[in-house]
Amino acid sequence: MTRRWGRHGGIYLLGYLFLLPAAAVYLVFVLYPLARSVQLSLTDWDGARPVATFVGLANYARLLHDGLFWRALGHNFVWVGLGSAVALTLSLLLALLVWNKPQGFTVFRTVYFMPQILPAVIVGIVWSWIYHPTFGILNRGLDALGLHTWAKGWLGDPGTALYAVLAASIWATVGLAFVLFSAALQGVDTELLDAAQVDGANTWQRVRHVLVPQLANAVTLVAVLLLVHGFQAFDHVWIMTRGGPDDSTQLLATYTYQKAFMDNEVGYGSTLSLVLTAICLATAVITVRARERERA
Amino acid sequence: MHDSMRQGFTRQGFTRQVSRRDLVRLAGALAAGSGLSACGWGREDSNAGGRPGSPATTLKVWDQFTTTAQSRAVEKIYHLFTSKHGDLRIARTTHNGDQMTTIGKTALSSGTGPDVIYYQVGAGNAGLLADAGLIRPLDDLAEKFGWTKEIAPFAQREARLNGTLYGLPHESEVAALFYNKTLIDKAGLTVPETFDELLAFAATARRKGHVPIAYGQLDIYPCWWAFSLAANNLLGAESLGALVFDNDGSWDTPEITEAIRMFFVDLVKAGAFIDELNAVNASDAHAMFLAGKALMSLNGTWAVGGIEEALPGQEIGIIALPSIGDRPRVYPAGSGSAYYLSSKSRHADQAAAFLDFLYTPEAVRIWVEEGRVVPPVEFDPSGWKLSGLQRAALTAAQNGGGDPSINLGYFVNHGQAGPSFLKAMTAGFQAIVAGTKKPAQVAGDLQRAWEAK
Repeated sequence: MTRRWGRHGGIYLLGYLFLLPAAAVYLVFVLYPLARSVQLSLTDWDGARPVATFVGLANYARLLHDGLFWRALGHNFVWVGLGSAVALTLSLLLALLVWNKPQGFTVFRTVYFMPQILPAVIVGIVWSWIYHPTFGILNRGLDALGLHTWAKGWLGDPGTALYAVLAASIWATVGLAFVLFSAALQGVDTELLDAAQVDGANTWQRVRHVLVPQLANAVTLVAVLLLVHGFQAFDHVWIMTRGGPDDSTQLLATYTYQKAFMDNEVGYGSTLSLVLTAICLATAVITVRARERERA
Repeated sequence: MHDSMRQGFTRQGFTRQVSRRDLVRLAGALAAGSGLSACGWGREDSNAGGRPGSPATTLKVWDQFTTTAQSRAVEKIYHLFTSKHGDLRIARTTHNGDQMTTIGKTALSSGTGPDVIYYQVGAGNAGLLADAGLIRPLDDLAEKFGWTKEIAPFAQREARLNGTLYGLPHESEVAALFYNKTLIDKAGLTVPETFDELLAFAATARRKGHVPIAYGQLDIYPCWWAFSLAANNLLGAESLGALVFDNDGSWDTPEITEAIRMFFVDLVKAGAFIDELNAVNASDAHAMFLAGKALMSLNGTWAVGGIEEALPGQEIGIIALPSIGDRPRVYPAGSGSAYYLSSKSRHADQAAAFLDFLYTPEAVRIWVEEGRVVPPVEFDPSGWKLSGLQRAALTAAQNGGGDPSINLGYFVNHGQAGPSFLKAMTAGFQAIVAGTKKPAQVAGDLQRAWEAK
C-alpha cells in the first residue's frame, strides 16, 4: 500500500498541478509581456539594437508634452463615449424588437449578428467602398435623393473621417451586444412589466424602471466590453484611414503601433501601450464598481 | 459509467487513489515530454522537406516579390541558382513591405532569421538594421565581384549608409505619369509638355467629363511620389539628391514651397484629380485608370505589368511631370529595396554567391522579361520579348529618356528621410488638400521633421 500524504497535502498539490497549465499560459502570454513592456518603456530601444539604453521616466515625460498623444486620446474619448452609447442603445432596441420572437426571428437574429463574425479587414474594405467619393453607395444614394450637396469624401475630410470610421465600427460591434441582450431578455419577469402597466407606468417608465434593472448584469457586461473595445480600437481605423487624413482618426492604439513599428520607437510605443492598458483597466473597474453601487 | 469509475472521479475517491509515486510518475512523464520536445521533436529541421542525400545547406531568403509575375520570375532565378550549386537549397519566404518592416528586424536579431533579406533602403529602414549590426557591410564583396562598376551609381548611393555599402540595390524604379493616348485622342486633347499645358489639359478634360489624373492620397505613400515629381522638377536632380542624401540644403525654401503649392494646390484647383482625393487610396485611384475612366495615372514603373494586362490594345505612354518654367523634366528614380546579408548568417559565403548570381545575364533577362523588374545594371534588351510600354519604362528607368545625370532624380522618401519626415509629408499634404494648412507651413514642418530625424 502506498504511503499517503498529509490529510490535505495531496489534494492541494493536485489542485495546483491542474492550475499550472493555465497559470503558465497566463504567465508567458500576459504577465511576462506586461513586465517586458514596463521594462521597455524605460528605454529608448528602437526594436533592432542589441542593447537598449535606460532613459528612466523620459518617455513618460515626453508623453505629457506630445500633442498627438493628447489628440489621439481625445479621439478615443469621442470613440468610446459616442460609440458605446450608440452601440448599446441600438443593440438593446434591436433585441427588444425581436423579443417576442416574431416571424422570421431567426433570420433577423442572424442578420443582426452577421457583422460580428466578419473579419475586420472585410468590414474596413466594404465600408471604404461605401464611403468612396466617386462610386460609393452613400454618395450615390444622397445624389439619388437630391441631397448631392451632402455628398463628400467621408474618409478624406478631417471633419467627418472619425465619425465615418466609427459608424463602420459600431455596425460591426452591435451584433455581439444584441445577442447578449437577447439572451438576457429571456430571463426578464414579464409579470413585473404587466404590473407596472396596470399601475399606470408609460412605456419609457416601464423600460427605464422595470426592464433595464432586470438587465443590469447584461448592461454591465456589454458596457465594459464596449468601453474596453473602444479604447483598444485599431483594426477598422488602420484599414480605412491609417490614422489620417492629417491624424484626424488617430487613436491611441494606432498611434502606439505607428510609433513602435513604423517609427521604430519601441520604447516610446511601450509607454503608450502601458497607458492604454491602464486606461482600459481603470475603465473596466470604474464601470463595474459604478454598476455595483447602483444595484446596491 | 461503471460505479467504480464514478467513484474514482469523486473528490474523496480520487484523493485516495493518488499517491506520491503517482505524482512522481506524472511529473516524470511531463519532464520527459518537454525534454524530448526541447531535443527537437516537433521542430522544423533546417533541412525540412529534404530527401535522403539532399543538399546540406539551406539558405533562408526573405523577399517582397508578392505579385504573381514577379514571384514566378524570382522562383525561376532562385531555382537556376540552386541548380548551379548542388549543395545549396533556398528556403524562400515572402512578405509585403509593411510586414517586412515589422518583423524583419526581430527575425534578424533572433539569429535564426533569414540569411538574406530584401529590405527597404534608406536611413529610416535599412539604416536601423545597420546601426544595430544586424546586416553586414558589402564593400569587400562589391570589390571582389565588381559590383561597384556594374551597378548604377544612383542605386549604389541608395544602398550606402554613411559611405558604406550595405545592400545590393534592386528594382530601378521611377515615378511617372502614365497616359492613355487612345483616350486622350478620343477626347480631342494632346499630351501636355509643360506644367501650364497640364493645368489647361486638366481643366479641359474635366469640362469634358473625364478624370484627368488618377491620384488619391488616403494611403501614406502616394503623396511622396507626387512631391518627388514636383520637387525634382523645381530643384533639379543634383540639388535634390544633395538634400536627400547629404543633408545639403533645406526643405523650407521658396523652391520647395513652390513645388508643394504647384502640385497640392494648383493642380487640385485646376481639377486635375477626382474630388476628395484624401478619401481615395492609391489602388482605387489607379483602378480608375485601368478601367479606362482616367486619362492619366500618377504611379511608377512597377505598375507596368498591371497596366498592360488591364488595357490591352490601348496606346499607353509614360512621362515625367511636364516641365515647369523650361526646366528639364526629371523622373524621381530609386531602388525599390536592396538585398542585405544578415551579420548572423552561418552561410555568409553561400549568401554572397547568391547575391552575385542575381545580376548574371541569364538572371537579368528573367527579371526584366518575366518579372518586369529592372535591375540597376547595364544590359542590352534588344531581341528580348518586351512590349512598347515595357521598353518605355525601361528607358525611363535607365536614363530618364535623356541624360541620366539630369533626367533621373531621386525619391524624397529615400536617403536620410526618417519616419518623422515621412509622416510630416503625408499628414502635411493631406492637410493642404483639406484646406487646414498652407504650403509654407508644411515646408516648415518638413524641415523641422528632417532635423528631428
